[in-house]
Amino acid sequence: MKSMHREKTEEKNKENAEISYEEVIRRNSDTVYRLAYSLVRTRADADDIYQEVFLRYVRRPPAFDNAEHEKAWFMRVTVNCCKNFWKSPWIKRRSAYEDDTPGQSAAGKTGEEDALLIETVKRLPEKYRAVIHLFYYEQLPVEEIARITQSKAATVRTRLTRARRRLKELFEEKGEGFHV
Amino acid sequence: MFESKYKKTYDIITPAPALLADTIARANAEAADARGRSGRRRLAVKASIAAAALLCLVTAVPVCAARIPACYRIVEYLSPALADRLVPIEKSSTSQGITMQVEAVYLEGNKAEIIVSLQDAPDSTQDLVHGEMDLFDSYGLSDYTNDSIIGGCYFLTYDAEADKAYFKVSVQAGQAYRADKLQFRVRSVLCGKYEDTRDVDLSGIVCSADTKRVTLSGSGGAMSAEELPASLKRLPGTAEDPRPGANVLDIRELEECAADDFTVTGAAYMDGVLRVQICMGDNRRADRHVELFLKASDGSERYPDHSVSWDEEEGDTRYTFYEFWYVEDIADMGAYSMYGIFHDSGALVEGDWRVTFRVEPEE
Repeated sequence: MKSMHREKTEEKNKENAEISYEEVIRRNSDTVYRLAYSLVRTRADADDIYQEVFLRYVRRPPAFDNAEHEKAWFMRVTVNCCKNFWKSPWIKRRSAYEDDTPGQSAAGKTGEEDALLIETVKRLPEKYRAVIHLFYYEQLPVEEIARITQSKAATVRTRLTRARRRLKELFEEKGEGFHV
Repeated sequence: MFESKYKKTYDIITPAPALLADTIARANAEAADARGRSGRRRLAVKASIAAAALLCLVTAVPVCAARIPACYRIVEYLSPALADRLVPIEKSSTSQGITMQVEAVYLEGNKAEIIVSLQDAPDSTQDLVHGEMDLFDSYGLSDYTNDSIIGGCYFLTYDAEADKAYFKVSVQAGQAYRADKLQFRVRSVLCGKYEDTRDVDLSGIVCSADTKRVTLSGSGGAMSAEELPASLKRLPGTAEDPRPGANVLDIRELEECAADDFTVTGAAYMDGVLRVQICMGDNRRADRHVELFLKASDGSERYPDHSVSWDEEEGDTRYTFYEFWYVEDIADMGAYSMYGIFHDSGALVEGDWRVTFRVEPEE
C-alpha cells in the first residue's frame, strides 16, 4: 500500500510535469508557429504542424541544456515536420488554390503591404523560405541555420544568395522596391 | 529594409489562442496517458484484426497529418501504390441531410478508383452517419457519353472524430473515361449497418426432410458446383427461365418468415450433408447477410463448403433465402454447435448525390 507521503509526491510530480509542458509550449509557441507558417501554404497547415511539433515534444521530451538548445530543438523539429508534410503525395497534389487569402493569412490580420510580402516570400521554394525565415526573422548565423536544417553551411549560404536574388526579381515584378 | 519589414510582418503572426489552449490540453492529455500506460502491466496483444489496425491509423496518426484525410492514410496503408496515384478532388454534394464528398480519384483508361466520404450535413439534425455504411450498389461514374458498367464498393472506415464514413469505389466503363468532365453519383445509402453474433440452434435438426426445386439467384463457396454430391447438383434451367436450379429444404411456410429480420427456416443432416436455411427477409431495401460458423468440440470452426440463394415472393414482399451446405467430414452432428454473424443494415436513405469534377493532368 502506498504511503500518504508517496501519493502526495506523485501527485505533485504530475502537476509539475503538466505545468512544465505548458511553460515550454508557451515559451516556444510563437517561434514554432511563425516558422511553420513561413514554410507551409496555409494557416490550417501551420496549425497542424504546430500541434505535431509540441506533441512530439511531449511524447519524447529531450533534456535541454539551456534556452538556446530548447529553441533550436523546436526549430529543427518544426523544419522536419514541414519536410514530412511536403513529402506526402496528397499535399504535393493538392493544388495551390488553397493559399490563404492575402490579408487574412494568419492569426493576426495583416495589412496589404504585409500580405504582399508574405505572398511573395511564399512563392519561393520551401528550402529557400526556411533559410530566409531563420536568417531574417530569427537572425541566426549561417552555421546555426545549417544545424537546424541539417545542411552544410555552404548550402545555406548558396540558398540564401539564390533566395535573395529570386525575391528581388519577384518584388521587381510587383513594382516593389524592397532591398533584399 | 527587407529584414525590418519581414520581421515586422511576422511579428503579428501568432497561433490563435484556441490553438494554443487546445495544444496544451492535448499535451497534458498525452502526458497523462503516457504515465498511465507506463504504470500498467504491459499485455502482449496479438494485433490480428486488420480493422483494428485501420482504426489505429485513423486515431493514432500524428496531428501533422490532420489535413490529410483519414481515408488517404488508410489507402496508403492498404495500397501504397494507389495512394501515390490518387488525385485530390474534395468536392461535395448534399442531399437528404447527408453530404457526399469525392475525396480523391485515380483514373486510368476505362477504370477508376474513387475515394468517397459521407457525413451528416452541417445543418442536419439527424444522426445518420455514425458507423459502417453502404452505398447499396447505387453509384456510378460517367463522363459525357460513357458510364460505368461494373463496380465494387469497399467500406474503408468510420472516422469518429471527423464523423465521416469512407469508401473506396472501383468502377469500370465500356470505353476510356474523359478526364475533363466526370460525374460521380450515388442514389441511396444504407446507414447504421451493424452485426450481431447469434447462436443457431441445431437441437431441432432433422435427418429427413422434403426438398423443393428453386431457381437460383446466386451461389458460392470454397467447393465448386461441380464438386458437390449428387443430391446437391445443379438442376438445368427451363425454357422459360434458363437459370439453373437446385433442390433445397422445404420445411417452413413463407408466412413464418419475417420481412425485416432473419429467420432460420430449416436445418437438416441428410446423406452426410448438413444444410442450414436462413431467410434474410425482404432485401430490396436492406442488405442482410449471414456468416455461419460450425464449431467442433475441439474448438475448430468451419465455413460452409457451398451456399445457394434464391428469392420467393408473397404479395408485395420478396423474401431472399440462403441455404448453407457443409459437405465434407461431418460424422457426428452431436459434436457440433453453430453460430452466425448476422449483418443487418439500418435505414435506407434515398437521395441524389452528384459531384462533377475534372482530373487535372499531372504536371
